Amino acid sequence: MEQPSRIEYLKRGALMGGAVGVCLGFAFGTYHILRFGPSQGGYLSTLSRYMISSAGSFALFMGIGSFIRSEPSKNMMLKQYLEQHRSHGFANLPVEVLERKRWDRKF
Amino acid sequence: MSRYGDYTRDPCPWVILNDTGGAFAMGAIGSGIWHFVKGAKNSPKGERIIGAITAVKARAPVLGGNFAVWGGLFSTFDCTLKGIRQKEDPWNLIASGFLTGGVLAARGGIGASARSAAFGAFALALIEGISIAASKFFAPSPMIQMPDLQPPPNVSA
Repeated sequence: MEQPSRIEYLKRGALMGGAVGVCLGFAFGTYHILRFGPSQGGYLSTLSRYMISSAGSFALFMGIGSFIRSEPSKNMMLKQYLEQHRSHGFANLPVEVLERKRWDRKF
Repeated sequence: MSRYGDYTRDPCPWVILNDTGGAFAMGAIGSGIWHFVKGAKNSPKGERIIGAITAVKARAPVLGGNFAVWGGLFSTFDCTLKGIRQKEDPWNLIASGFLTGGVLAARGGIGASARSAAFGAFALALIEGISIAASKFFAPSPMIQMPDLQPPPNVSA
């Protein structure tokens, strides 16, 4: 199974950050307007400025976050290895045991 | 971004270190881009590059450190809640966002702490909701994509 490229991760993260930022900007812009009143330019302008700036910053940071954290980790490589060598397993443990998280291991 | 049900992450105590470093890098790089542009814009003409570099040097590590504190504390609370509840679901993340926001604003008094905690929980709930929706939207469940059943070979011939 091929990993998507880093640019793909960046795009996906920025898209999700933009969505989150729009929602957060809407919520907090509304709160700010209700609490302090609109700044000059009226309600809609204040709200839209809030939403746009929040969406932009969230998209920037979440895009970079998913860009730099997108390398395949060791567990992923181990999983791929196990999938290729399914008959052997690893240390005589079945694959399901190895893929479990540490909490779930009762032994 | 969603951390739950992700099998490629480290096991729990170590994921705190991983998250702290990742959050520092994310904050430092993002803030570096942001303050490079801002510093170049706010410098007089002819000194734009040096002004931008000075702004980045002064401000990018600060935001990186803030991100690292947030991410590390968040991951610590997440692991703690996972250990206590023995469960992994989005409520862990929302509760740890709440606790992180509350603890980091604790010096401002109970009001500021409650406001920051509500902000953290709300933001995490939003991120989780959107990432669950996005994962449903982008990758439909693999159960649907059943392979076509081949008819059995004709053995009577």
